[in-house]
Amino acid sequence: MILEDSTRYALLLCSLPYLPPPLREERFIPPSRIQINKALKLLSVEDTTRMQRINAVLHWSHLPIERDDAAMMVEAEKLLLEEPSAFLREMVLERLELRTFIAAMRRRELNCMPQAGEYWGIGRYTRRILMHWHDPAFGLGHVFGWLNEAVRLLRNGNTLMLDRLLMHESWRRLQRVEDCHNFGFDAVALYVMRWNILDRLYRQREDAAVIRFKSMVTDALNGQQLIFEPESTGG
Amino acid sequence: MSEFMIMLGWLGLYAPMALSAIGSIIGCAVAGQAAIGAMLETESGHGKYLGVSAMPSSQIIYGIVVMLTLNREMTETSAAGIFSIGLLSGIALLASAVYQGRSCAAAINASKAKPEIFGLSLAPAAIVEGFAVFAFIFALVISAGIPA
Repeated sequence: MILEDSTRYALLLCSLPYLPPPLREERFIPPSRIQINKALKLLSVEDTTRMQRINAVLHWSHLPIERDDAAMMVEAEKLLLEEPSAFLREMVLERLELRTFIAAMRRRELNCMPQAGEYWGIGRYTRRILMHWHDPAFGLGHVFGWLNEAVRLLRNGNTLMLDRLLMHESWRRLQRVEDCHNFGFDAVALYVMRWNILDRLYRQREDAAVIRFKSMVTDALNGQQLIFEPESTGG
Repeated sequence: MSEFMIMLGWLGLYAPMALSAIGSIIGCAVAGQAAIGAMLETESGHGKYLGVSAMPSSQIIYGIVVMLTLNREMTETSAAGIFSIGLLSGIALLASAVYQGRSCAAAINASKAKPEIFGLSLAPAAIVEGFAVFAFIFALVISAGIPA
């Protein structure tokens, strides 16, 4: 009771900015990766390794392109076996299952049903997906309400909206469990997962960022004469 | 046997002081870390964060008072009462300080993001304090019945 893991990272977590739900606050800018990495230096060596393993399984953008599905699934299964926190195992599994649904939808659009023994997905629903392959929501529409909407967006080719739908769904799942945790490693990992979602989402708004930057420059330079600008008073 | 009883009596006499000190140390450390973290993130309101982080220090005061109240001539007849009241009140004060520290840390974290809920966010910590006061007051009341 005295030296619980649930209070180890009170300083770290309180030094990180609050993360509002996606797009709720128009002027919100997520903390930078540098800021997050600086805070994560407070993690113990063991927890830093755990965080790196979770990131390697969940975030694929930094992985080499030649890495195949089988290698990634082996890595994910290894993490699910070895991660000591049951809560984090569940969180990682849920995210991977969400991606499994998307992989199945894409394969169905390409008419490429997985063969027996093929590495194509992970989690508790792979068999059920194969059993209900021709059902739009794989027979799970009553459990995962977003599946029908995702199928519709994929068929219409609206990939940006599909990406946003998935991010909102991932956020909703993380938000649901947020209040169950205190100041331990689980809470830190949960924060980083949520930050990754927001970071990706707000990076999609680069046009808005350019417009905002230009307006800020205009405001700052309002009425100022630039030294390299020719004087307009001809003569 | 009588020496063992006397030893337990002395243990019970110092227990509220020692256990509440341990609780206050942990509670203040956890809430203090949260306050320092909040200071890194915010530009103002640092004083109130530090003030909140000191809330779990009240338990050690209660522990000292209980110890002083229990302090009397240690005999075979008084030792059992001193041991029981001292140890149990000490455990209650320790637990309340630790959990109050966690409540304070949560309040600091929440009010950092939403300053307008600062007062309300302290309610759980205040309720925990109330339970510590119960343990303290009734330890004093019961200790009046210990034979001299």
